[in-house]
Amino acid sequence: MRIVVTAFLLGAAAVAALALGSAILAMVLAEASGRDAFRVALGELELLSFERRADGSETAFGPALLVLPLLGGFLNAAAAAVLDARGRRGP
Amino acid sequence: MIGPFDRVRLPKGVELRDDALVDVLRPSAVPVNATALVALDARTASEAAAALERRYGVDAETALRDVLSLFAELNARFLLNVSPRWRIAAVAWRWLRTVPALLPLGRLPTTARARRAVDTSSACSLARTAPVALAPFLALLLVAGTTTSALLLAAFGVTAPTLFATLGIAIAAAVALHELAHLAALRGVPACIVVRGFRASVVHGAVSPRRTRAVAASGPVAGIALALCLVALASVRPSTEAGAAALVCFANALGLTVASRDGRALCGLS
Repeated sequence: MRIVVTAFLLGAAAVAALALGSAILAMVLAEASGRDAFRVALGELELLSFERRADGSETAFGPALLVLPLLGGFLNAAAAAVLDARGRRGP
Repeated sequence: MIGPFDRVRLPKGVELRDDALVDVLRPSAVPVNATALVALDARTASEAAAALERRYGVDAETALRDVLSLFAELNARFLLNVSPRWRIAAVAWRWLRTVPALLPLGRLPTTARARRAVDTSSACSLARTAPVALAPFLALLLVAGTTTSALLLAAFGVTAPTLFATLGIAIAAAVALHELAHLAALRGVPACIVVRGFRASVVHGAVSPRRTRAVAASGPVAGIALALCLVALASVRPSTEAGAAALVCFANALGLTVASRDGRALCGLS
């Protein structure tokens, strides 16, 4: 159980770092390239939206920033459970 | 894949004591018989086979096959270093020549391991020996990373030499930092770097489970920290190069998942 929980937390942290890093990077580059609007989404699930206004710019992180780490955590936990079961069964 | 004319030698940290090969890093000893001692006294497999032929009267073909098999076994246990005469060119040529025969069997040719000594006794000695041990591998990564980025991005119509070079440097820097962080976490513990093709790993003496996890975490965490620094740099001086380098470094986060050896160690799976 401990292995699965650890794997979930680590998987979630890894995907969160990747998603957050990519989102911040996309925002920085969008700002620098002079784009007026910018949106990164997985279908309806928004990760990041960027909008330039007359008085500055607005960046919003969407629900994908929560969903993706959860998904990564579940996948990593499932893989850890499979590896653990295989290890217990022996070669 | 060891050739008959490849130079062989015991790496630093491996000693021949009382008819046994002793690994001072991991307290283990592999017993060697008189025949193996004759083979280990030679500089190449070809020389070793000739010595066995002279001494025991075995035919040349059998002697060479046995010597190559012994050397391959010792190399797999990090107890023997093998250096082809033409280094990377020889390894690449052997690899390409063997691939067509092995691919239908679902296998890829194996590459010899190279063990490089690192002194982890103090921060100073680590700073002195680790870059030397990693340098040839990082040079290979730099060239391969730059070439691969150039080929992949050129396929999408991107022609930016500075971006290709940045990606190559970022790949090499991320890997260097990752391995150096592992070594820094192992301060005071005997360790070495083992390079096999495009893969480098840190092999070390026994440590507590808690420290094993700390060592495993240090590599990916250092990579993520570098990525965050690059994001900060990109926010101050926005550029595609800084952004691409940051993305490469963020790939270190995958080291926390069970897809990597570090991730499995962190979960207590290995």
